[in-house]
Amino acid sequence: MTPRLQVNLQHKSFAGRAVIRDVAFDVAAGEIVAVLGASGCGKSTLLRAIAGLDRQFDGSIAIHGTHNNQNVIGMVYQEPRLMPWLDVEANIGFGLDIHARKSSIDALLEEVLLENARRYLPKQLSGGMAQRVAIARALIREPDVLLMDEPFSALDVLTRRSLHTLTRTVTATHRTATVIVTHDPEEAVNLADRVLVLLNQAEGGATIQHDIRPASSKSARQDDIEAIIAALDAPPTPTNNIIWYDKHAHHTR
Amino acid sequence: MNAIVQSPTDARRDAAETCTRTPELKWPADMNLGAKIPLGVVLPALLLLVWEIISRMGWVAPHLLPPPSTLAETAFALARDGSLFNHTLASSSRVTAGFVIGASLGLIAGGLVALNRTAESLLDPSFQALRAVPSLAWVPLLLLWLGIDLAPKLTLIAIGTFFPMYLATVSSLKNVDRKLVEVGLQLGLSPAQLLRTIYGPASLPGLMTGLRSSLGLGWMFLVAAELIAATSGLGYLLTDGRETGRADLVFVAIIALALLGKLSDTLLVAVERRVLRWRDVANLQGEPK
Repeated sequence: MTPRLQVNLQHKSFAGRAVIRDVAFDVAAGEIVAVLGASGCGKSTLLRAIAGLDRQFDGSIAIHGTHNNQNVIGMVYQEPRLMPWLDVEANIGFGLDIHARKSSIDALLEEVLLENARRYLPKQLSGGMAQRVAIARALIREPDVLLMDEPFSALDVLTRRSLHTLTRTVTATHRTATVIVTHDPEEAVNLADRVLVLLNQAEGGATIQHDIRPASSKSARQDDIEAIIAALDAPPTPTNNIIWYDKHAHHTR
Repeated sequence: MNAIVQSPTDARRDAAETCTRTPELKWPADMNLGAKIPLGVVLPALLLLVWEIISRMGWVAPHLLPPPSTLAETAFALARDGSLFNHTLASSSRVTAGFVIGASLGLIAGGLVALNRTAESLLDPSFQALRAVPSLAWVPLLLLWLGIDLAPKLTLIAIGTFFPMYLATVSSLKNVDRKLVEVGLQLGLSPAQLLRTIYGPASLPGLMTGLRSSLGLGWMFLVAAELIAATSGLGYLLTDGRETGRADLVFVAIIALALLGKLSDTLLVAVERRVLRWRDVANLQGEPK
């Protein structure tokens, strides 16, 4: 079966400087892949390319095995980016035909636990609630791919945890291929099924894929986090341009 | 992957998270007096009292500074024979018509210039040059071209109200948050949809401010137009008072203009409050009582 999302980005540069080189990975439906890396390593650029907001790159991005633009992509940004003049309900249905959206809005409000906040304006919402609205807005078009750009970095730890739970639930129920960009190894390990580590691409860095151990004990997860931090910390060499981590061993390709 | 169920505590915590309002700041000067007497009338009342005393004592010639009681009599007489109403009606309808024309054209031109690069290169330099002309400099030309009837008055008011609206439209459309526009682009909205669902509402605060300054200038240019050539209107009343040496008429016209200007602005503020309910702004003076 073809994976839901196939990314193969060979080259992307800004002003003659390579920002992304040879980044390739797949994401299955119902799977969460976290993209991790220091700032400036091209994480957001990668996400914008997948979202179709930026098409100036060498390589290909396929959804359902095809390159057409008919696929629906849901996007959640670092800030909720809600329309301040619309209430929660209207924000979720933003840009859709008012008649088409009523029943799906009701279901989504329940799913993101905001049934009672339907008529609230964005200024009346907490950061966590606003981000729930943003997630519902991304889901209402039944996206094939859900992209999240550091969506929880401004939230406190408890809110972040409940939103991790929500992200896993919606990825499972809506069968989206979810890609989340984060700078936090702990978030990556706790939330994702796999972690993609982008080392500094501009300095000839590498891409590392790390599979999270499935029946993970707390200490196994801690080991995962340490492995990722070590990878981020290690200076790249010409030979380890792409390193694939799997559950128990890593090898150079 | 584990199926994860949202724990009920999450929901409860989120309910508790529901935002509190902006904390209310209390300034020492914010006394409770305002609840009983509108503070705004205190100063004018005091002024009227002092004015009455000065005039009554004969410290200033009464034909130059008639006491407020005389003004009240004059206003009452003008109101009784209907001329105050007629002048007010003439002036208000001129301002309204000129303002509607000028502000609409300002909105349209501003929208074009803000949203279209070609239109901006083509139109903006000319508008900026025209804006540099003091609007009253158009008067002789308008009189030559359009005579002394309604047309030159409306045109002058329209010119005066055009520029503030034009500038406000351009700047508020250009300042729309790029991040919100990106949301619309990602959702695949057409340019027309973007304009209607994002650019329009997002620029409303700036547009409302533009409307208010535009209307304010409208009253100014109305007086200019009526001072020059008119047989009715509050500006005419001013000229009439000067020519017949009746300072009381001049004062009545000034007071009527002040009240009308304030009234029209209050109406716009009420509209603004209603359409900008969603705005999340700091309130330095605490919640309104």
